[in-house]
Amino acid sequence: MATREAGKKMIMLKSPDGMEFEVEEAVAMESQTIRKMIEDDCADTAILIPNINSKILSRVIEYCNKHVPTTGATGAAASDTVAPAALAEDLKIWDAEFIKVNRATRFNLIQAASYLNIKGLLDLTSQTTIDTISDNSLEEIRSFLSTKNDYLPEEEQTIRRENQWAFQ
Amino acid sequence: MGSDLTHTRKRMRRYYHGPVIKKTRAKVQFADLPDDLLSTILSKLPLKEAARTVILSSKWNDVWRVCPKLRFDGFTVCSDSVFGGEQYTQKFIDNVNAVMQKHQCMVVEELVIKFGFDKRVLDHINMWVAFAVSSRTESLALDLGPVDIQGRIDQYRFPVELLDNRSISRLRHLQLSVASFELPLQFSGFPNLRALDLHLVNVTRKDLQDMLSNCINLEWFSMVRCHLNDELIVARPLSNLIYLRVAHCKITKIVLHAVELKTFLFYGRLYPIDLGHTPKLKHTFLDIYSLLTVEHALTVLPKVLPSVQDLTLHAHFTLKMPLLMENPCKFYQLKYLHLNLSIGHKEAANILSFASFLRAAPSVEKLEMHFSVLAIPHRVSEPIKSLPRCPHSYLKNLHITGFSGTTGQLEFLVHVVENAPALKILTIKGADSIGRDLNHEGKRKFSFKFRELERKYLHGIISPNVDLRII
Repeated sequence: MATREAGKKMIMLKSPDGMEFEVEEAVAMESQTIRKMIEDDCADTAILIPNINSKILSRVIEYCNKHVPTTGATGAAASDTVAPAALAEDLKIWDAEFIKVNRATRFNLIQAASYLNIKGLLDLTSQTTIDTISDNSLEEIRSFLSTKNDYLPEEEQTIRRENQWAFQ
Repeated sequence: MGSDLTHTRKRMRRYYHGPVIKKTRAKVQFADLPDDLLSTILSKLPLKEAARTVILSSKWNDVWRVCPKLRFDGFTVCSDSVFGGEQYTQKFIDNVNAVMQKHQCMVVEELVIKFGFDKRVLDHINMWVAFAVSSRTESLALDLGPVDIQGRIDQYRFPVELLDNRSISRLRHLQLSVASFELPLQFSGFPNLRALDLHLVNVTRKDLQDMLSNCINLEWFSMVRCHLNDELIVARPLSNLIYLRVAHCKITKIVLHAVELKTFLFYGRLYPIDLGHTPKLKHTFLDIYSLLTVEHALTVLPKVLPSVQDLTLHAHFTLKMPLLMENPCKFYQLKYLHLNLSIGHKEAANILSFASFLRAAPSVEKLEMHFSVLAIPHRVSEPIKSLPRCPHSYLKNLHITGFSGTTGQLEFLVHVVENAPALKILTIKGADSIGRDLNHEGKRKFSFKFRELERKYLHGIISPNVDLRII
């Protein structure tokens, strides 16, 4: 259980499977959805995060912890000796490690990032999907996305004709 | 299987903190994600690749229909046609229309049209603006350059009058490039506009002033090559503005009040600029075309930028005899100073004058200097000038590029090093006598020569703890 640090407001997040996470307000506010709740004063007790189980929620918090802008005592000292570019590079490496998860976890994270409205996490989690769509053949994309081609041959012809410009 | 599940449930009760969910194996497939989320992901792809997904399955055909961002640009939309021809234009028009037809009645949050304007597309662009209105677009970008190859300067007039009240209040981001606009008589502003980006836009002083004073939520404003040939005076405070860029604009004076401003970028000749009280303005980039003197720069800039923390200044300087300015105005919060200096060969002997910049910035921690200077390198028999001591206690990092080893550069280097007791890193990048980068062999010779200068001039004044990097 995290202890309350001087001057830092803590927020309690609750997952539907009963886990509770105490996080700094600034970390929780990486999520625009939670930020809105806090700003609208709907967050005096614990915030229940529906549809996101504790495993995924703890990963999301891990991400927000890493990405919350560093200010205050430690941040000020670091800001000038460590160039912003180096920090960004460090974050990139961290992100690459963070996203090494199986497909189902990734899809869960996409869903969580979307619900909680965390742009950076949504970008990160959906990037693999985007790369797959732009780099692979139709069959590979279908298999990656577990999508079945449900078109009749003539339907497929029509679809192709209607969107001809995209296939040229 | 059944027993497996029971087992999992037991574990869930027993271990509160363990990775219990893993065993439940909710098999989430990508396609189980809701359509609007899929379309958000889809919208991160280039338009053509996004459009191609319609062939995957009927679900993806639906997802494409609700894709919330449509970014059309000539090169991707008609990549198979010869650029610039009549067929190319026609193809662009047909393809854009076909896609819009498919997205009719859907919300399109972001619409981008990037296509070289000519009169043939005029009516179509107006229709596309109308499409943005009916599609509840929040972010609209019309980038209508480059101007026709034959040099015609037909300009698109952005039809403000086509926007109804709802779309006026919906718009959050507007980008116009190579266009013009006039405000209707009864214009009361875009109340929710956050970002306004104007490039090569023809607009009168009055209309631009009215536009800015009526967009009360504006946070980001950039104008590039918008020649007002007049003053720009925004009377009403821009209380939410945090980013301002004015680049290559023929303007004679700027007055505005941006109390929240954090970042300011300026490119152009020096003219009076008054941003009002800007206690949060930390980041500033200035590329000044006018010939500057150190005295002038250090009299004007600290007054305009009293809170700046990082400052980049590109300028041509005319230099007098090196003197430390006695009481320059000060940048009290400046931590990072980057000077990119062009200096004529007559002035090269007076580079030491820049020491006044350091005196004006008592808390600077990193100084980065780039020289473009035409002058012959220092000869060891030559005497070097010096200035009175003036300690820069916080300076930790000195980075000099374009160092061709002229006497003036050397004097400056010695002055800074002897006045920087906390210096940790000294980086020197060499250049030849006309300021060009060195090749491999040149670098080797430079490194050798620099070591010689170091022995003669820095010995005893540079702390052994300084990490010297010759690159």
